Amino acid sequence: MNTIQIDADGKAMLSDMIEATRKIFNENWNDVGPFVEMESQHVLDSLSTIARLKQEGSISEEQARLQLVIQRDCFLSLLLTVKGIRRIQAENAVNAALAVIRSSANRLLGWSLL
Amino acid sequence: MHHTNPPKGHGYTSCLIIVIPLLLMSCSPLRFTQEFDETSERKIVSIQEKVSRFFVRMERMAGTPEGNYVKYNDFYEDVRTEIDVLQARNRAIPMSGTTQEQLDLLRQEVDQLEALHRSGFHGTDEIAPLKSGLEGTLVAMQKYQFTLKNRMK
Repeated sequence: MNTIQIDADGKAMLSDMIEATRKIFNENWNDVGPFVEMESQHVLDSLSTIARLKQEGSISEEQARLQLVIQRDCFLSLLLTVKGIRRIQAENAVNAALAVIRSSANRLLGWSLL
Repeated sequence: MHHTNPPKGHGYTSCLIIVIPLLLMSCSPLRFTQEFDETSERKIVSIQEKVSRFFVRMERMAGTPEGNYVKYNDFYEDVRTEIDVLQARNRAIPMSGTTQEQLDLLRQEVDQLEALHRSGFHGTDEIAPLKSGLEGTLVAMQKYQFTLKNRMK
């Protein structure tokens, strides 16, 4: 089942997301790092749930995408609470975190969510 | 008798040494972030209460006639109004860019939640990721307000 594969690959995906954002935050990493780790895990958990709901036919592709946008905005909002982090920097980081898992997540899901 | 005159400007320099620290002490500190605003904090808590109450109901009602979108028009109108009022208030507060951006994100999330609700919730499983997303954003907003509050101390 696709969702189980996502869970199994979750550790590698999490570490890819963290690495992608670390490059963007650079000198702010010590402050922002714990938030990135927590929220990246949260996004992966949500991704897994959203994928399961889509697989069960509870939600459509469009609904799955809207669900994911909410997770993305939550991630952004949390990053903005860190002193010195600007909106553009936070957006770049979240986009980088999602981009780095895009191909593996879509491949495991079997359709293009990201 | 020979008098030695103090070097020219000595009195002026001494005066500056005394006056500048006094001036700095009397001035408000230069601020690079917004000042804490108690009304904003209170409004964010009020929005959080409404959103939490909505999700508590949805966790039981999603997928039933009681969870139907048409019964929640007031909720969306109410929350959106509170966000807009808070946004307008923060536009008048200097250096409040972060709060404004967080409000923009929250407004977008409420729009997306409404779009999903309008298209119909099939069951309570759909609620969990939505709840964690919106409540996560509201917690982030409160966290930022706490930071501003602590800077005042």
